[in-house]
Amino acid sequence: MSRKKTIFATIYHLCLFINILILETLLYCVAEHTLEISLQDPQITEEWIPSFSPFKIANGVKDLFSLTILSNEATLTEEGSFVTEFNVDGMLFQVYRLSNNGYRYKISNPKEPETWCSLFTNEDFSEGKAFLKGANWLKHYSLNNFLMLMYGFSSATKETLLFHSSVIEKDNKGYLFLGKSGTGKSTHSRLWLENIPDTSLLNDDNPVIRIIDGKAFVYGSPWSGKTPCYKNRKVEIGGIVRLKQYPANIIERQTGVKAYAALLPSISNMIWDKRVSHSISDTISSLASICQVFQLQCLPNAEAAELCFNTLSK
Amino acid sequence: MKEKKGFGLRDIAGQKVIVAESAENINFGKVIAMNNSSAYLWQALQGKEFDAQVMADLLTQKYEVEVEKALADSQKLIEAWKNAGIIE
Repeated sequence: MSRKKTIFATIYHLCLFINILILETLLYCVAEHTLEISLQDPQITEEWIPSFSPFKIANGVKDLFSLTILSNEATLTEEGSFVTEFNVDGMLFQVYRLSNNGYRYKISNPKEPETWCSLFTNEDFSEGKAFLKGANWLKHYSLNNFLMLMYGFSSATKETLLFHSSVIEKDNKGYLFLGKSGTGKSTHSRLWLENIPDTSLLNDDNPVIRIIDGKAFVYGSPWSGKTPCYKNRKVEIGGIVRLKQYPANIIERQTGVKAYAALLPSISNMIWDKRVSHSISDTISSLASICQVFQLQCLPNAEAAELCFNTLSK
Repeated sequence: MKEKKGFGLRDIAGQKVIVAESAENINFGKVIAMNNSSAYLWQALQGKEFDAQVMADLLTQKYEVEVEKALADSQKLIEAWKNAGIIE
C-alpha cells in the first residue's frame, strides 16, 4: 500500500472510531415499524424520551425512518420556500419545502420567535436531521413533535396512521374515541373505565392504527398526551366513535363518505403534499369500510359510556 | 364565478368528493360529496369563468334535460357550492 493510501486509511478509521464514540444509536419498534434515533448532541440523551423505553429493541432493521439529533446546525443552512404555518399548543410550527423535495419544520415559542428548533427531512421522511436549541422545555417539546412528524409521514404510505384519539381496550378489542380538542375524549374513556367491567386504557392521545391483511389494528405508542400511558400492545379495532357534546345521549352509525369525514380530522396531514395526503386518504377510506364508525352525541355521564359500549359490542 | 384554487376531486368510499389539496385551504376541514352530474360539472368548469347559463349548457349537452330545469338546477348548485366555500 502506498504511503498516501495508508494515511487515508488511517484517517478513515479514525473518523469511524470518533463516530462510534459520539454516536448513540437507539432502535425502537412502534406498531411493528422500526425506527432509529441517533444522538450526536451530548446533551440530549435517552432520558429525554422516556416514553420510548417500552418500545426499545436491541436488534432490528429500520423500515420507517432514522432521525439524527445533530450537535450543531452547520449543515442545516437551506431556507427553503415557505409552505404554511400553524399553531399547536400555543407553539408556532412553520413549514418550508427544500430543494431535495423534503421539508424544513421550525418550532418556536411565538413570544420568543428568534429561537427555534429545526427538522430537515428528505422527501419521504425516511431520513431526518434535527437541531434543538433554546430552553429545555422547547427542546423536549420539539423533539417529541419531530418524532411524531417523522413517524406520521414516513408511515403514511404503509397503511399506517398516527391517530388523534383515546383508546379503551376490552376483551382484546380496541375502542377509539375521537373529537375536537376539548370535546371529552379522555373523559369518555374514564367513563368506560369506571362503568364498564374489564376495561383498560391503551392510549390517551395518539395511538397508531394499521391495516394488515384487511384487518384494522390499534397499537399503543410513545405519544399519549397528558396521560402517561405508553403501552407496547396491539389489539384489533372493535369500533371508532366520534364524540360531540350534546344535552342528550344519541348514537348513530356512519357509513361511506360520512364515516370517512368523521375520521379525517383526527389524522395529521400535509394536504399540499399529494404523495402523503393521497396515501393517508386511501388508508382512512379503507379504515372506514373495515371498521364500524359511529357518531356519539353525548353528555359526560355513565349512560353515555353504557349506550356506546352496548351499541358497539352488539 | 370561478372554482377556488387548491381543491381536488377524489374518489372516496365509492363516491366523488371535493377535498382541500393546498396549504391555503389547510383549515377547510370539510369533505363535499358530489353526485355524478355535479362531479362532471366541477371537472368541466375547471379554470373557467362561469355562471348558471354556462353550467346549464353543459348539462343540456350531456343529459336529456329541459333548458329551464337545467338552469334552475344550476342556480341551486351555484348557491350550494358558494355556501360550501369552494367557488368565488
